[in-house]
Amino acid sequence: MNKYRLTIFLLVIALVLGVYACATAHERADGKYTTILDENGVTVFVTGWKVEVGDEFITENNKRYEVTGVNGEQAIARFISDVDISMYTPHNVTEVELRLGRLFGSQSADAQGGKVAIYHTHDDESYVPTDGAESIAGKGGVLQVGNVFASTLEAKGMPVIHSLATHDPHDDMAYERSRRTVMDLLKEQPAAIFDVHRDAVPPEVYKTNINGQDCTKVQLVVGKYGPTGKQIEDYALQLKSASDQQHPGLVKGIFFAKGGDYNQDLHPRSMLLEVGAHTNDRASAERGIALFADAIPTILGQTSGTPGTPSGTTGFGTNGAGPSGSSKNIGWIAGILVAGVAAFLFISTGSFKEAKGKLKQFGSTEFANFFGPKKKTKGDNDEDDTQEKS
Amino acid sequence: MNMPIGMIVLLVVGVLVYFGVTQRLLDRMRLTDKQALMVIAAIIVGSFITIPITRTPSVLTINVGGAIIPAILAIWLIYKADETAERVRAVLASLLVAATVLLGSRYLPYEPETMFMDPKLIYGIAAGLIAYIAGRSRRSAFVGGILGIVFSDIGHYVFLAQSGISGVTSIGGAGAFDVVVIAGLVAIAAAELVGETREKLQGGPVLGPHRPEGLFEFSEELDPKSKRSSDEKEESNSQINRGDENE
Repeated sequence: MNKYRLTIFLLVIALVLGVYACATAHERADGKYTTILDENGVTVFVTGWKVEVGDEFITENNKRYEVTGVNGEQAIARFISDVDISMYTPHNVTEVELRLGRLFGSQSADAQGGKVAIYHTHDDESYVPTDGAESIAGKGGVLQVGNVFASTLEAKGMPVIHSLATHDPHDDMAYERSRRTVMDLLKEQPAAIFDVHRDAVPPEVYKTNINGQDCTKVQLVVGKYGPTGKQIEDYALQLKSASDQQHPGLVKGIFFAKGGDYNQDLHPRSMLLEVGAHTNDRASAERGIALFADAIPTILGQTSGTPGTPSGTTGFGTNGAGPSGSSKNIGWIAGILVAGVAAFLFISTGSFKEAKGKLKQFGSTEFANFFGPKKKTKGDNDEDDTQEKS
Repeated sequence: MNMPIGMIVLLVVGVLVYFGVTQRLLDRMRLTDKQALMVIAAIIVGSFITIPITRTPSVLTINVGGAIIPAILAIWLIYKADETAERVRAVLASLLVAATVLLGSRYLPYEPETMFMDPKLIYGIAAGLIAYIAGRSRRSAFVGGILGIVFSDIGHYVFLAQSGISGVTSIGGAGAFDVVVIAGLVAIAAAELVGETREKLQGGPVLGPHRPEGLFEFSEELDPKSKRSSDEKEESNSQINRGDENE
């Protein structure tokens, strides 16, 4: 027994240490950033943190790339395709589309009031030139950027809920803590929800000049593997398209991050924004987010009557544009469910015959508790209940 | 809300699949189908109720659906455990999961560009594996997942209170979609996967004389004879009994 306990103890210690070691290896190296080059050696994207093979991004010019190799602070990316962003441009709907939309349950934009919720998962993020530090727990400069975003939207007549909830410390569980803030905000039924951050790269990456004023660009981040990732991707393209029409060059690009859903699974119009970097001054980040706010009313149907739906008013897809992100996600969820059930049956039985037997048993007795077992009296049913408890 | 029907259907499918899978997993936690559904209903309703606990030195609240109900279920499972050793293992697993979450959250990459896996999954899988190694039990995995995250939240509160950082600890604040609930479910699934695979590798569970009626021969089962009465017996039987506590 002692040997047995010792083995367990050693295994657990090894596991904890393994997590620790693996984690330390990923720890952020301050001041380092990655420059991503295309096949011809031209810089196409710069990002503050380590990238990995398989990461995807869409550049300012709507070109989609996938990282194929990483060498220190440089990465090589393969050009995948040009994204036809015009497909995502909000448009004035025809009467037929409007009726179709109503038939399938879409309400008019006025009914919801276009309320926007803003929060900050990393509320400590700050801008060094103006705030004096890159991280100020609970009082980061990014909160001020959120304030400007909120006031600009309010000036456009959109109600805003700006949460100043803190989620410190700035760690891996911050998104799980901010998830709780998001759920609180959702009770107010916002039409869109934004998680406002800042990046960590040299100033020139985000610095730009639009309409004669210096400001920072804005990067959109999509949780690639979130359960609604494809649908959020559509939404990100709509946002970029709307912003590109009004202020070309303002949106730096879209980064498809692999590490989670960033709480984007909780609302179909949620987006993570990186407004400038810690090396930019906060005033220019505030000007950048104010310009970005110009795109929001278009997206939420305040000016065009309906949200831009990438592939038809119903959002399922069209022949021309193919399936929408929502349809793709529905397919993925259904596919994973079927594959999961098949894998479980295979692992637990190992043969087609037994799997079939187990499925049959599932169909006939598993829901006996709801409906009463097939061909059994009530008395037998109670026995089934006690058995299931074991 | 003004949403195209595609988005609405996606949300409905997502929620149905989530609660459907939840029901199947809770079904394994000494609950009948009806009881599992009632627990889900309670979690959903409870998601809307948050109880404030303290405001000083740092804000601490607890959500009924996201923490209290799952924690009650976990504590009930510990209470209903057949033997003390099982209880000890479940509690030990919870503490180890809490330590893993606190350490992991500190050292795992936390920027969107560098995170490699959703924390909800990482800690759920960690809880499942730790609890399975510690107790070789799906119930223990669930207890580890739920209480591990709750303990780590309490640890977070203590950290905030001591370091003077302003912050809010809202245990289970995201209700049915909180990391507490999801980690518990992922933990059962991970333990289930490991347990079923191991049983398969060893050629099926050990058969005993008191096999409950209705269980298929490949299903795991409880063999009262194998209950460990003493350390000595356990050591000598450890090879034979490996399949006994997998529920």
